[in-house]
Amino acid sequence: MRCAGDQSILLLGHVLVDLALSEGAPPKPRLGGIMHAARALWALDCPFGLAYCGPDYLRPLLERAAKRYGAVSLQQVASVSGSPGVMVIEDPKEAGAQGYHYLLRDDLQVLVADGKLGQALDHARWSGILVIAGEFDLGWVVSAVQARAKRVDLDIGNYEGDWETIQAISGAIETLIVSTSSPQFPATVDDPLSSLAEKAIRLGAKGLLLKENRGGARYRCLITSSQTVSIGAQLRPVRHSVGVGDCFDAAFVALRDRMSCDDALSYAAVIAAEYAVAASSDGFKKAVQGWLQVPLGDIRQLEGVSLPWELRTQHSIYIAAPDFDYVDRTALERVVSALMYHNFRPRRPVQEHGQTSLGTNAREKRRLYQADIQLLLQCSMVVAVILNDDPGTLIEIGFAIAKGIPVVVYDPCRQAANLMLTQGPQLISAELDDVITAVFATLGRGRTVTNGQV
Amino acid sequence: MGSTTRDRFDDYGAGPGGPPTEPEQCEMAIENLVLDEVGLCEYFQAQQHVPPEGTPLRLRNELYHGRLALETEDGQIVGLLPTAYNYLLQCMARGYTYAGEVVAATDVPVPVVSTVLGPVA
Repeated sequence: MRCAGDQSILLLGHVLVDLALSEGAPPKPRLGGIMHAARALWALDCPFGLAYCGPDYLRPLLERAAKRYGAVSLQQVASVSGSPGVMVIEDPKEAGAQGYHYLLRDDLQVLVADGKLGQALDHARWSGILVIAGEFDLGWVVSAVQARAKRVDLDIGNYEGDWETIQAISGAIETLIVSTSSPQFPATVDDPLSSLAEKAIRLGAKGLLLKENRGGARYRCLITSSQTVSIGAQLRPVRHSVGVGDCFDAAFVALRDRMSCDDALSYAAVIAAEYAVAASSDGFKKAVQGWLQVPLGDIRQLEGVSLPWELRTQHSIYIAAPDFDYVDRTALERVVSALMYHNFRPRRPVQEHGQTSLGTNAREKRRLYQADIQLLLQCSMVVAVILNDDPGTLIEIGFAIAKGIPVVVYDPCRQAANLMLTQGPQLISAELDDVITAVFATLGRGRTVTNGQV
Repeated sequence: MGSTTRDRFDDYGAGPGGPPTEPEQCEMAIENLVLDEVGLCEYFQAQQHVPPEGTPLRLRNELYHGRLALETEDGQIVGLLPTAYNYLLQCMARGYTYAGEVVAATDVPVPVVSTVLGPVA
């Protein structure tokens, strides 16, 4: 199941320094950008080359990294000035919006190195070219590619330009790759996959891959039957989610030559999941090599979580918390924001129905109580936020459990000690990403897929 | 002025001179592993009760309807592993086997089995 002997992939895109900020831990810098994809190809023993845009000061580090990962070529096809090429990441685990801050992005200039892109493209008979769009002109890349009668797999996750620019490069795209966190993702349409597919068809792309974070991925072949393949996400407590999507891309492109698209995507899903938990590159590689030994039949039937973007709004999530104007609701707002980022519908009963005061009469209290309970019963699950010993929150947790409604508890200050609280819900955690993962796992439970066509 | 820590721009922190690596995930025991779908699995269906505390279990060496499962020594499936443990499949492909036991179990209100699981030396 390894890469074919004559296979090699050219990675083209930015190299950055990812600086992940995690609470309670020192900031952690790591080479990012196309290096995430490079690690995946290295782990797969798939030869690869690097054609990068990046600041000159990174060159020595990249030479070391290229040697470490066995890159067959390293070519700086464009330099970057005006910006140090550093991406500060507030939430490496992507519980909610990751808070990417590209330092001095507005001052960034890409300076093309004449002829270097051509040299990179001509260095080897690349069996695949994976382009991860960034600040460089896509037209520059694709005209060089088209001049050599090649096609690219194009990830436009980071692309903030317009579709007309992408349209100009039609005819050279093998797979168009988008994620739900991309500025190009049509988050508000009823059927985003079909909306993207229409655009991808106009580009002459053979396939469309939509990555949906913890909700899995969907692939639509655009030239044969237009059927959609749904790939379940392998949910685990993550160490980081930075670059996991790029890792997925690279694994898919590398394995596609050896197996069907469906199977390549299945392997890519487990490999990407390993990247998200990896503490070291060597550990990541061992795990990837292990996955390559798993029989294809097992990979195909391995259950994951599939929760397409547009189906998430069907799930109202009751927020049980002291959502009162005299409480510091920072942690609560973080939960709500994260849920909305992933397109769920958090329902805040106090905000929707009203907050009592000392002067609220019995009739009004009864009305609010009934309204809150009715809302809870209509929701798919409860996410409770422990901010203090609010009796209402605790009663709502118990009520939901008794009614068989799944409950996940976010306990940011680790206050919960009573066993009724710690043993009743299906999860209680101080980590927001654990809570979000549990939401996906809970609401995707009825939709766990054996990888394949939907 | 300046940090006293050395930052590595390349790896996750592994390698000579870097921070200690994490233990191999395949070699880590799993405590308090609560199984899924106990009531629907063949042990409970056959026995109409959960296995008692201390019952030896092993990780089934093949998937059961797309899921990893724990079974008794005579091959009765007790419950399914949460999908977060799917990584054990690649561990098994690398030659690891796993065994454990029931640490807590109850029939009511719903059958629940909590286990411990670890690699077999």
